[in-house]
Amino acid sequence: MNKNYDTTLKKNGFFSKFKLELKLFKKNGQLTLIALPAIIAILVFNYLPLYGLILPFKRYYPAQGIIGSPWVGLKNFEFLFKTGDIWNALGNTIFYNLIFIFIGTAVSVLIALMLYEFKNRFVKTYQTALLIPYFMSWVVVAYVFNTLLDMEHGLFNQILALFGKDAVNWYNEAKQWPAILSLAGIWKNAGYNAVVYFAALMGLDSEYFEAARIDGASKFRQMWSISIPLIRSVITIMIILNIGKIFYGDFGLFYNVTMNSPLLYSTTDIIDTYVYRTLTSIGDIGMASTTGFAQSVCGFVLVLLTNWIVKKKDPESALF
Amino acid sequence: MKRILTTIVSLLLSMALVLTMTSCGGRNKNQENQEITWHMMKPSDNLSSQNLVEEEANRIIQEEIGAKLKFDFIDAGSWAEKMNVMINSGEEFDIFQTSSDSAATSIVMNAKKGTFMDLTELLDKYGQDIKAKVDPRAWDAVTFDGKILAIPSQAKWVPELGYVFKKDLVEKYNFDYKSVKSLKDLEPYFDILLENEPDIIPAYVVGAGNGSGLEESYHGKYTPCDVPGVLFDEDKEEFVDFLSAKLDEYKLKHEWYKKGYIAADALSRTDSAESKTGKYAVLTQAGAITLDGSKSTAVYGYPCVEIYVGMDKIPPQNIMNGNAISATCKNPEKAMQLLNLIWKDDYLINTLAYGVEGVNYAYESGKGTDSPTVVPKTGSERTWAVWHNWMGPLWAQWNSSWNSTEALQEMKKANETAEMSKTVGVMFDMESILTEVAALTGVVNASSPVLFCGAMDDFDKYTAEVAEKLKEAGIEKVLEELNRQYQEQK
Amino acid sequence: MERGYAIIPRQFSLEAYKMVLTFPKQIIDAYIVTAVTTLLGTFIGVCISAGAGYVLSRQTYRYKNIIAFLVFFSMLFNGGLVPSYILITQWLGLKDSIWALILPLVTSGWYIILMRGFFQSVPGAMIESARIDGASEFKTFFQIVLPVSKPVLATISLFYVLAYWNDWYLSLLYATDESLYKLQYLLMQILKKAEFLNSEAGKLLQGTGVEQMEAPTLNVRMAVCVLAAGPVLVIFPFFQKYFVKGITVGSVKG
Repeated sequence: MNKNYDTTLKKNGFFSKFKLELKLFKKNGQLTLIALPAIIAILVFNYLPLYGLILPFKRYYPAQGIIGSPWVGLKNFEFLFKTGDIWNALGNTIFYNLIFIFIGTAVSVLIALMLYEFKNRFVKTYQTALLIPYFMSWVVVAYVFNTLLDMEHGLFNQILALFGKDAVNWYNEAKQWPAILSLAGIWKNAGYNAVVYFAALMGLDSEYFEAARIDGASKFRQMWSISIPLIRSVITIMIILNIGKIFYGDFGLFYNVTMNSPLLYSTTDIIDTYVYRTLTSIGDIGMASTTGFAQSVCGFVLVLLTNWIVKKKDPESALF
Repeated sequence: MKRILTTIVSLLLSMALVLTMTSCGGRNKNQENQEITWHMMKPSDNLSSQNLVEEEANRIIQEEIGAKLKFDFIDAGSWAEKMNVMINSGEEFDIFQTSSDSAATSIVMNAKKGTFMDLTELLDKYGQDIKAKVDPRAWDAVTFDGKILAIPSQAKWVPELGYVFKKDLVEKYNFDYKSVKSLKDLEPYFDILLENEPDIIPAYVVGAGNGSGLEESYHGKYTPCDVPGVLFDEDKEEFVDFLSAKLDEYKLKHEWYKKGYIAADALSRTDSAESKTGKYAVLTQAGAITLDGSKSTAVYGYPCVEIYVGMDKIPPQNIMNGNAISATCKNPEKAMQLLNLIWKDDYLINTLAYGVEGVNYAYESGKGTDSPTVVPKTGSERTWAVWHNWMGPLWAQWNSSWNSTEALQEMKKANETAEMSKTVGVMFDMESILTEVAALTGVVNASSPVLFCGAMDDFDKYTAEVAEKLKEAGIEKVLEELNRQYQEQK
Repeated sequence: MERGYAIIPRQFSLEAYKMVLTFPKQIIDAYIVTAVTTLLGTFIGVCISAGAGYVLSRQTYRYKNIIAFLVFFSMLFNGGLVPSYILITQWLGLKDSIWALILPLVTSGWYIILMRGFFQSVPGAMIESARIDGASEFKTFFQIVLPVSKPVLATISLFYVLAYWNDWYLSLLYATDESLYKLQYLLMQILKKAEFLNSEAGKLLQGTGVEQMEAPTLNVRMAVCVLAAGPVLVIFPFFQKYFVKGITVGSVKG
């Protein structure tokens, strides 16, 4: 329908174009009105401060304001690339995010499916239990992990001792940490993400399952061939959104759980911890804003790309 | 896509319109009642007497200068973040605490930004009592381009180093701790402990705060500006990089680490309560040195003895803790008058420190202004306490169990007899080396806990790597620039 | 204090809770502020995001792509701390207002896009038939779509509740008045203070003071976490009721 209007638009002059556009606007008016409060809120709280996006290119003097401060080109970005440590951090950031996107999503979907399939009277307790980690601040999670990893009293080393193995100095050994941090990250967020998939499953029409049950499909078969394909678009959207954040890391996880031990940086340093460590004694707003800017731009490009691919294969699931 | 773009552009334009309209309506707050705000780190958890204390203080302040004081306490953990955003957003506020420890309120980092008000004329006009009481040598440390940017607080400026020994152990092994002069002298004692005390870690050396615990005396080398990774050598009068300056000490630490004097997992012991576990035989002073061991015994929670290892010249950043007036302050005259009144009126400063008589403290002897001794409420009854040096005139605080007049006088004397570092009065301009300073900070933060604890596998390899990183970060440019500025200004 | 931990507590003590709860007025205030911001914020947030999510799910809506892009773009890019702070404190004048603790979190592109995903699964035939019956868009949305979307609304409400409940940063930025501190900020202060005292700045500060700042013990820090998380875990089952009700969506259609 829209297509017809568009072709008519092209044929006519400016005035009738305007008239048509006005007509279409009126036609969509009620729906626009329903969306309007959210649009206004987004414009005010997200778009008004966007002039801050020029900060990375300014030497910021508060007295002169953001607009009035002098331009410095790319100078603010230089500190990032001085020592080359950023490349290690970048690699780690992407590595952990890929793990969280793929394994983390799989775990969350699995939890949601289990909650959905096994509807017994304990299900509420499970749901509540799954959300507990999400509530714990990373600072506290770090204590919990410390009880496991402490060299003298930690549970892991006590178990190793039972098997006659030497104690491991966990906070000095970088190679163990990709596993530990992946586990910690997934453990904390899996429950929260599972809620999304669980709700998507809840929205499904139970007729689908009815038919399958009559056909004698096994529970596992039902999950694989019915449930997952049906919540496909939610999974895809979640993945696209996470790809947009692929250059961001969860500072709390990587800073606290590792006890910020420098000997682990080769496998635990991410962009956010690197920048935090680097800018502590300067506190310059211009330099501080460069990283977020770069992370956003790169994420943005990646999302456009992913969305483009998704749109080709499965237009229903695309973001826009 | 084209339609999307045009729509976004028109939306942005209309927003810009809204923006210009709204930004015109500025607010003028606090103009009429002349309220002066004072942003300060929250000195104590429970300050529920704040209204009462402010009321008592404002009785005097109102009468003397016709203004009102309002404290705005920000807890220590949020301080840097909150002050940073307040200063950088150009918010209106009046007096605030400066400190060399936090970039947000550091004088060096703010000097060029114009966020601190120039106090030179205000001090001449309204600050006679401040000028009379501040150590005249201190003004050099807070003056940038001929502008005085802050009022230095009275405090212990002299850097001192002491070692603390767990009392039961030195007695048990009859160790002559008083003869210890340097780290090396501790080794025989450590060997005995390793052999006989399996549950004790000989040396308190841990990763907290970029490395805390036992260290060698400063030997005239310390950081005189906000650049991590460089030290000033008082004898050679030049800046040197921290790694080569401290290489011997780090090497010794690494040997200690291998021998087991230092905990194998020292790096991950990052909790400040670690020193209170009683598992260490030798530690460093708990804030201040008391030769009878009373301070460390009280802080660490077990009997201790202390020795004094060394003191040094006063570095400028120890003087830079004080109070400044924001460039956005609408009423700088009143703010300066208020600060002057605080330095002038002993009753006022003690009210602000101890609170209101009867509620927060009681007189033990003396009364009013003739230097009484007071007993402040403690424990859960304590609802006000600013015993710190943060308000400025610390020496004027009345005698109490928190700050005894004797201890304060001792500090004052130590300051007066100590020499100032040659870098006091040299204000460094970071503008041209900000990139390098940031990169250096990253390298130093990543390496100094490891070096301090000696917790690397291969010392030579690790230090070579750090040296290489320092070079990449631009340490040579930084040293050159700092040395040039020093030569120019000294 | 002992270093290291045991799986089974060596001794049970409520001392830490007592310490945290020394200032009951402050804690009560904080609970009230948290409850008010959470309720108001969740209510407003769900209302406006549901509207936007629904509209975006309508395939025939003309401005669907523009708005979706606008929403998505806002998720990735932000102007940074200082411009947002200037907006709230200087342009909107909301410093020390409860709205400063509500409005910045009231929209989230993430929730809108999630909502859109869910609304897409509402059968198109339902909307079509309402249209044929001559119902206005408002009526379709409020009387036909929303009632069958309870699981979605419950999920997003839960996310809003979690976001508002867990937020402490807005209090840090915009509340100078202690009676406006949210519970999480009150508790975060204790954790942050411990962290600060462990940091280099904290170490230096310890050196200059005559007396030392008291560091919260590990027990206190743990007690703080229980107090912060507890209440929401109690609220959670309330939402679960709607999760289960969602199963009946299919029958409404038939």
